[in-house]
Amino acid sequence: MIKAFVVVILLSSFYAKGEETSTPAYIPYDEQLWAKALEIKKNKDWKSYLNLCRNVFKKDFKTIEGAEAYMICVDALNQAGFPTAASHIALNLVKRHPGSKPTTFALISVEQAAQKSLLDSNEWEAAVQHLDINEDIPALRSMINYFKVLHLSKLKYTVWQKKAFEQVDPNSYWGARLQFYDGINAFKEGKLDEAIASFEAISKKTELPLRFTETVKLQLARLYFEKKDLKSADDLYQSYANGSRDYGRALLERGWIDFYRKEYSKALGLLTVLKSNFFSGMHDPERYLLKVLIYRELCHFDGIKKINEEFEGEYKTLLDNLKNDKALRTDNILLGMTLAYGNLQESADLVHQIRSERKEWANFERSSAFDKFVKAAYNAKERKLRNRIEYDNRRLMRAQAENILRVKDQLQLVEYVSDLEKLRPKNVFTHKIYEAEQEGRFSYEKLYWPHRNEFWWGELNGYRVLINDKCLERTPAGEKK
Amino acid sequence: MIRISYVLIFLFSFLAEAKKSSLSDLQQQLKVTEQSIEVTRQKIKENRNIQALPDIYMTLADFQLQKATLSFAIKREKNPKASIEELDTTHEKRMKEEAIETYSLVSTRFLTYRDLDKALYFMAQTYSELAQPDKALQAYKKLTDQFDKSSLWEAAQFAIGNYYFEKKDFAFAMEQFQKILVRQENAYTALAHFRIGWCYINQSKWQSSFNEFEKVFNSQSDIKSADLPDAKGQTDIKEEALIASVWPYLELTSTEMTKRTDLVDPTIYYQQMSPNERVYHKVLQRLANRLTIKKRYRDAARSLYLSLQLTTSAEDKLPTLEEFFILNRDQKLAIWPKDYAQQIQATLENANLKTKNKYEPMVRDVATQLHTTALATKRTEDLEQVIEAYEVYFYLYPKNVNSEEMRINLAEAMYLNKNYVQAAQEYTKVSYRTKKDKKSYMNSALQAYMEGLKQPDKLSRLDRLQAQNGFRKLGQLFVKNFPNDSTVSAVDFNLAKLEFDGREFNKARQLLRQYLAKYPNKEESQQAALLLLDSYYQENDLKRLSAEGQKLLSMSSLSPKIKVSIKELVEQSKLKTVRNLAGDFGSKEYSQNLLKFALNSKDGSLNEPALYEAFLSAKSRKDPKTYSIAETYIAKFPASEKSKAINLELIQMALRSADFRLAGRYLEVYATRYPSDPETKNYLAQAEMIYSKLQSIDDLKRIVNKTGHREEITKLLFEQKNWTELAKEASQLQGLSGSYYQGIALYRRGDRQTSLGLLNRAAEANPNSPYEQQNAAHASFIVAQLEFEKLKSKMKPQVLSPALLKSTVNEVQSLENSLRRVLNLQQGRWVVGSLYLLGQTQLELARFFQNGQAPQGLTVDQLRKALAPQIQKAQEQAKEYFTQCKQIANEQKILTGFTRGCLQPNQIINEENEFLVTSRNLISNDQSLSPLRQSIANQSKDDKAWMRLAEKLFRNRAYADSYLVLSQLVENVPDSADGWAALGVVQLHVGKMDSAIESFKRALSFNANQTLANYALNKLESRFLISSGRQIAGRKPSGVWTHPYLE
Repeated sequence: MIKAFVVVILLSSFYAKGEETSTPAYIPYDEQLWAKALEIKKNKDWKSYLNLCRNVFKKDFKTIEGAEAYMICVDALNQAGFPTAASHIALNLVKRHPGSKPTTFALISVEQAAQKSLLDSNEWEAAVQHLDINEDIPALRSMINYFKVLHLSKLKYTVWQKKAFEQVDPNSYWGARLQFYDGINAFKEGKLDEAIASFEAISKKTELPLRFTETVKLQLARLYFEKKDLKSADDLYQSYANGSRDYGRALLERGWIDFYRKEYSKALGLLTVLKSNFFSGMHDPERYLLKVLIYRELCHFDGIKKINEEFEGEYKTLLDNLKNDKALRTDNILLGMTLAYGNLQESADLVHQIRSERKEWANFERSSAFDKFVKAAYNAKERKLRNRIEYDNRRLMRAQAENILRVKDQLQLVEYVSDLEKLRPKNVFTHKIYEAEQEGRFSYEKLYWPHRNEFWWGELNGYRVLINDKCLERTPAGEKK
Repeated sequence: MIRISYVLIFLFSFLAEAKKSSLSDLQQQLKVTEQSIEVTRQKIKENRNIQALPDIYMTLADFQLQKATLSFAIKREKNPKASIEELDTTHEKRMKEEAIETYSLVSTRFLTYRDLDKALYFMAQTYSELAQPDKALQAYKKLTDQFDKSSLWEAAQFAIGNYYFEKKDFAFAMEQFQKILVRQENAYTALAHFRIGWCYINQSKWQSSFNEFEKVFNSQSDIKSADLPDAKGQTDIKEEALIASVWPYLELTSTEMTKRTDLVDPTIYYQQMSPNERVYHKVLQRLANRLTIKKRYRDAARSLYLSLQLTTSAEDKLPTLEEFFILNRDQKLAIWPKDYAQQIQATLENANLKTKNKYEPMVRDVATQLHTTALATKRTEDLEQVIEAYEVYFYLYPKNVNSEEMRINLAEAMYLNKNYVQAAQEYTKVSYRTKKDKKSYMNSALQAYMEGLKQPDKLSRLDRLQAQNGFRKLGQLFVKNFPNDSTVSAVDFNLAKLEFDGREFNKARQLLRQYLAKYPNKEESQQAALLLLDSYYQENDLKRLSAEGQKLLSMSSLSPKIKVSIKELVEQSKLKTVRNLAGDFGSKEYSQNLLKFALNSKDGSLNEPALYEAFLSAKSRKDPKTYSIAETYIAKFPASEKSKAINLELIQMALRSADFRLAGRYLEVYATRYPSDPETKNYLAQAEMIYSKLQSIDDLKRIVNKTGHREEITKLLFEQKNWTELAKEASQLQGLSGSYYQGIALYRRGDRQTSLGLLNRAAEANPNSPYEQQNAAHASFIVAQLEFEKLKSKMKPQVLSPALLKSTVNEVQSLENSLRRVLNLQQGRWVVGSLYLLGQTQLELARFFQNGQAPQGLTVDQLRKALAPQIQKAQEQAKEYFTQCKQIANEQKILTGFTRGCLQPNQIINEENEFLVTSRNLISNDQSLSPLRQSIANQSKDDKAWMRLAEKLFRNRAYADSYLVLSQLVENVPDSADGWAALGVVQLHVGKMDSAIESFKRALSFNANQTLANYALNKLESRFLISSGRQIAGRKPSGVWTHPYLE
């Protein structure tokens, strides 16, 4: 009877639930170490947490105790804001000790971190076999099955893909990501309404990472734009988070909306905002196209040539490089554009994340085996990612270069057509489409930027470029009044 | 009691994981257990309650076993590096023997004890642990004999079965397992089926074995061996059964397989049966293994590749990739999956440098093998695959000793794939890096640039820009370094043309003058002269154009031919000058001047209205000259709006008078002139249909260049049996049909190795239409026929060793599987053909057995006697196939030569004869056709007029023209029985047997007594040995409509 009682106690402690209903409590191999870890976690003292990891970390982690040390390091790195290094160690664990308790808990830590930061989807998809464990851990079910879905969909094993899909909680981050891919696929198949429905469903979900919801918002805004629902598109663009990497793109796209609404001064205001230092990394050639089209609409034919000269000036080096077959390897503008506009954006963001983490790591770095391991992991990971991006990018860069040349041709065409229109009499321009702003906060030629050549976020809507409608000034003879 | 035992087992396993290192804990547990034993013994001594005694003894036995387990665990903890075998377990054995004594005491002393069955079961289990199976068997038997209702009965019975299984007495073991199946379904039912399956394997009873395993993995109940009291581990018994079933599956005979259509393809069958991808992966590995043993290498490679795709981790992918590569290479399978390069990339990109380098020869070999295949097929998809393979190679191995050679290969593949600019860039890279053959690579790069620049509109903006600049830079360097090379003139010309195309006319003129001075009589000289003059024309400087022209005409070195062209151009410039001089458009002088000029010129624009009036007048009078006047008009004034209307009128006129050849030409002219017209697409489709029915290859080619329907050409070339052209043409066609037609063409030309790869691809592709299904069936049939021929050549009289017999039977089975795939496609004549070939295979097998020589140690008589049942079986099987063949052909009225093969198996039937030889078609220029056409134009529903024209054309042996006329007739007058019957005959001439039969049947549906249709159908059916069944016998009809088959 005494024995049976002991067993009952042990069993109940093993299956005791943690604070979160889906996360089981951890039964440590080294109780002292785990108690220490919990104490540090309670105080949120991440430096000490990393030091604890340094003390127990060994490169060789064949034993289950070694795996436990790895698990603590994964969690410490995640808590201290180094998710890429944490993910790297967790992957090692997954391969060496699949299905073990330390691996499970390391995965739970990674799953939580993945919602706030980027995860190398390719690497985790490649580890999906090792993630396929017999035990069903509710906290990991969605993430594991998400990667399974990605893998199986490529091989078109639809039955198993569906099974895995059904295991992903639709309300989880992973469920939302799958829904996002549904939307993208629907768009590729030309089913705009289906795509909108998918993105809208995601938008309604709360508790998703901002980084992700903003991407969804941008896609949705573009779809509304495609459907000519300019108001809904503009509302979304206006609520777009300003710290995002895509903010410049969002502003340019808003500019196009204003153009279609014939609110030319607003569109020009946004284009001028894009000239500020903050957007120095933005090189979308369509800025010029939008500007010449506005100028043409307002009969500022003489200004078009100047804009084209500006274009030639900005892209001169790139165009020269293209001619000499150099740009595809060396031109940073082209590389930046490709990464910002292609499927590789997430990989590029990941490289950025690695660099930021490595920089931040300098504040934590000591001369331990663990520190060397982390540093080497960052370097190897970045190198590997860059190689992969370069390889995957080879065709995208050609397409992007082609786009720049296309815009160049279009600019020249607009200039030519405008030269012809200069000769036409006024009565051709009977459409009164635009009423010039009578007053504005800035004069056309001299824009004042309130803060060191920057702009105030909240005031974007107020930025206008005061421009008059020259079409109204034209006489039948093609001369000014 | 039992419950507590299980709890203890759990406790130990838990301790084993969570408290592995706590030796002191284990020692503490042991101490407590020993004390518990003492307490229990004392209790037995003191106990006066006889009823409680057996329970206390059972507790004692439990503690004794527990002590043994703990003692062993402590030994392991103390000697972590020693293996289990190295540990001395005498002491623990002794403890277990004590437990057995206790159980024995209970079983002999307390005969009415309620848990006596459990005592026997635990005793038996402990005997098993002590490796005393005979004693364990006795205890198990006692339990099953005495306790029929015990919950442990099935477990004990299963253990008994296992005992005999281990002793290899499979028949008796099976009897034991079957006893479990008789009882109500329980946790051991699936296990019993599983074991019986293995018993059958050991008795080589494959079908029965497979059935038993199927019962396990198709069972609806959720049985896991972990649920069993024996706790056999976590492996799912269904999963084990699925994997185990692979062996018997692959041993099933063809008769057994024929009964189950779902078993045709093992990879598909197991994909459907596997609960998830993990299990499927395991099954694929097993399949690959067994298929390799059975020498079914192609299927083995397919399984391996599917397994490779499913594996995600690079570490696990590597051995599978290597195995697939070696199998593919060594067995010359020529399997090139679409994502081969991607799989290599995924496998190796994260490998360390040493591993990567180790596999460099493999990656290189794959790329070059793909290259060799693509060179033979020249198919776009193959070339793209090669390019990707090279790109992966450079991604994995950016620099090594083979880089230069690989880059040259990449450039060549790009060039063949018409990526001229990128090919040129790759050649340029090689030329900069290499020391030897620099000139040759520069030359290749320039050729590639020139090829690309020939059609600048087909280049992207980037390619165009890079081609122009790349060519300019490299061209100048080449001319400077190798001024005497024979290609320098072409480079010079293109450098000049580049400036012309870039509208840099001053530079262009300078270079063109230099060129003409240096090369007055080269191939490009004429073009150079014209470009030089055109540069002035472009700038509207006609005065300087004339002056430059005069200068050129005075050059004695220029050839007279060039001078003629120059003169013409100068003349044209004069015309323009005259128009300029003619004054204002509205003035009287202008028209007079131009009229005067037009009267003296062949190209005068003012004769347009006159010509148009002439056309209108001729048309209203139905003058046959209308055509020539209209043609002159549209040729002279292509840009005129009236030209379009006249062109449409010409099309209508030609169609109304059933002059389809002419209609095709006018449709084509319209499409060329007005490519963006909304009707153009329809007109092109009509022209394509007309040329296709007229079997006019050259005309069709022109149309197809616009519609992109290349398949139409391949169909026609196939019907005409023009294999050389077909091979070339089909290489540009994607998908199943492309592989099929190219494969067939190469096969007919005797290139068996390349054709096999292509036909295989066609056979394995998914057909998307009945037409593709037919092609897939034909391709599959040829693949199987090749396999048959290969096998037949191996089956010569020879010594029949057991190994040879086994491998031959395996190969026969593999061939049968291939033929079953053809059967599965359900394409009439190929079903009959496959049955014929299946019969032939069995006959060959019987002959092989009959003619075989006895191996050492066996007399001929002994061998004959041993093989007699097999010979008889093969002969019977052959007979069965031939009977099925005849039956299907007769029932479904399939007209095929294979029926004769099945009736007379000694006759060899060639599949090539399945396709009719088309009659040579003449193009009729008979003037007497005109009135007939006119008559049709006046009365389009007059079927007799149509028949007269068709007959006349048929007599003139213009079969294709007659075919089109009759097709139109039955469209206009759908119930014309005579029209349908005549159409049937003409269809035989143009090689469309199936359509011909259909037409005869249509004729009879409108008139059951139609003589020609009745006669033709009877004749055809008797030719192909099909019994007619028609009531009215056909008489030989009089008239023109005949064909060699109807004689």
